[in-house]
Amino acid sequence: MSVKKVVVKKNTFYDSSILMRAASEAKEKIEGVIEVAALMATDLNKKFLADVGLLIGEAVNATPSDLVIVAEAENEESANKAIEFVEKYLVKGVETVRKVEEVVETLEDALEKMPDANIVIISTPGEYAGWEALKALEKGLHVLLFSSNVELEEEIILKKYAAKKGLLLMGPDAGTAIINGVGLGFANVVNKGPIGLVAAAGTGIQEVTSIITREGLGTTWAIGTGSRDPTKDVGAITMIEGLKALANDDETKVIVIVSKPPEEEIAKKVVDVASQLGKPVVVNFLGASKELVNYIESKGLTPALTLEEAAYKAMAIVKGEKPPEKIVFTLKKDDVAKIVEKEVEKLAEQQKYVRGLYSGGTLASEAAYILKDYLKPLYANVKVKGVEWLEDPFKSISHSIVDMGAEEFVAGRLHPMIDPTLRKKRILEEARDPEVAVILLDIVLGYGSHEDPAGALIPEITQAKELAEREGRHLVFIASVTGTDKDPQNYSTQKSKLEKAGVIVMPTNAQAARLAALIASKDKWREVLDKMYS
Amino acid sequence: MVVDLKKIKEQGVKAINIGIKDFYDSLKAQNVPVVHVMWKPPAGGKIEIFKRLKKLKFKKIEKSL
Repeated sequence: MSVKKVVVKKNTFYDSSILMRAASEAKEKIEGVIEVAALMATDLNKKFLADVGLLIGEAVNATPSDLVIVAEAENEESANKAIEFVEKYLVKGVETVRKVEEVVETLEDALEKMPDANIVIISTPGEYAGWEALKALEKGLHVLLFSSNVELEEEIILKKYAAKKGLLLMGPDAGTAIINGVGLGFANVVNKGPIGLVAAAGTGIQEVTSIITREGLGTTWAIGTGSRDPTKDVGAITMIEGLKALANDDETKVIVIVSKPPEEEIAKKVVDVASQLGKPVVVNFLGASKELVNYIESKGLTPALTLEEAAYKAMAIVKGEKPPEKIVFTLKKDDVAKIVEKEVEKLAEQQKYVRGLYSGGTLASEAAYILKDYLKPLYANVKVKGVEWLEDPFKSISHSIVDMGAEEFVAGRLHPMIDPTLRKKRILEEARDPEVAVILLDIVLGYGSHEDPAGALIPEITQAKELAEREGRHLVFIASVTGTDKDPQNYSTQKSKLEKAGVIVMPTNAQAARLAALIASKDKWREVLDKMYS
Repeated sequence: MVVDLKKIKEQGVKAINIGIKDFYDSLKAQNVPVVHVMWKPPAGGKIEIFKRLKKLKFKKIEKSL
């Protein structure tokens, strides 16, 4: 029988990042602890606590300005220790922040300290974020609104107001932006160069800008719009304002648009605006219909079907070359064939499925979009036309692509790009399934991400391979690394760590997905490879 | 009015970070001038009062558009 303890601290605020770190460390370091949560008692967080059976005692009536710390443990002592650990962690954390010179209490105080500030990054809880963004816009500041759960009505007003004032309002729910070469939010350290992006896709920006840097070119600006921007309700206000801004920027020679396909009316609106900019535009509406692709072409723009293709087409245009029709592999076809042949030979008879465990949502969508043509039935918890919906994302079936950054995984927890715990567990779960042939992974580098995302997964990758081998199976791991050598984690170091652990590292996520499709096609792989090139 | 990126380029990024401190740290690591706001809920944490204030303010801005 487990013991549950709860402590509520009235009117005490901590940001979600420090709270989740505190809870995560307590769970890891204190013996006998089953679960620890440290949360502000917002409705969403209370729902999470209720779901895991921890909405107990005083927590039930706590309000959004109250801090709740709950611990479940095998005995009372461990539960108490966990709560004490979290309390101490938070006090220490705040002391550390206060020691920093540039810390103030309000936006107004910040402007007194830095009167010439020009951009604000907001990551408060959603119900407050719109208010802070509005204050910033009133003061003439550009805004990156990282927070999600901002009301739709607020988003629309904020965006119209920003457009009227000539300010950028990126988000809500915008994880990434590159402003004058500076990465905001989750961003890679990329070269400066002639390609500008407007994107409603966080890891989409990261993948495209990283490929461009690794190929020796660079990015001027990457304007994140937030996922709700290209919808009928919002009308793609930020996307369109972003396009106009890039059109006026002398250093931006080619523009790339990245988004899931918006509703037809909005997609056409964006394409129409893009066709009037007087600059080449590459449009990647991931999973777009043939009709939409034709429409993009008819307007003199360049459609791209994947993130990788968007990057390579934009680079070709910059170099004055004809954009490639499509990218299959950047390695030679024969070299790919050798890799596949070697792996397929080692697979046991029952091994046939691909399981993609993703930290990046757009990367998961790209993988599902590619795999759906070769592997059936394919399930995913990202919406891609032609892919079955994975009802329970905690349990893979058949071929599955799982976005582990989806809401159901991150409620009350850190994002898998920061905390690999759930992905580590899931790797072992998939390895135990005798029908699994390939585990497909993304490793996302950059500011904001885990300090060693490849290294963190390697013990489980090794264990998974050993587990399979003991049962007479050969488990194939395929990964791609989204990042650059300038990132704090270093692209080459991360890649080589994975390779040493027996992971096949492909140059892009799209190519990693294609290789996975080939290996899982087993004795039919040659036909599939030819189909890819046809 | 079209966003003037040239102006940001001339000024360089000068940032205020409100909320999660990690974003302050990553700007510091990129040598970007940044001030961190150790944010707390406004209106003394009274969410209902805050929501009313917020609604009024957004209505006012909406009317001005």
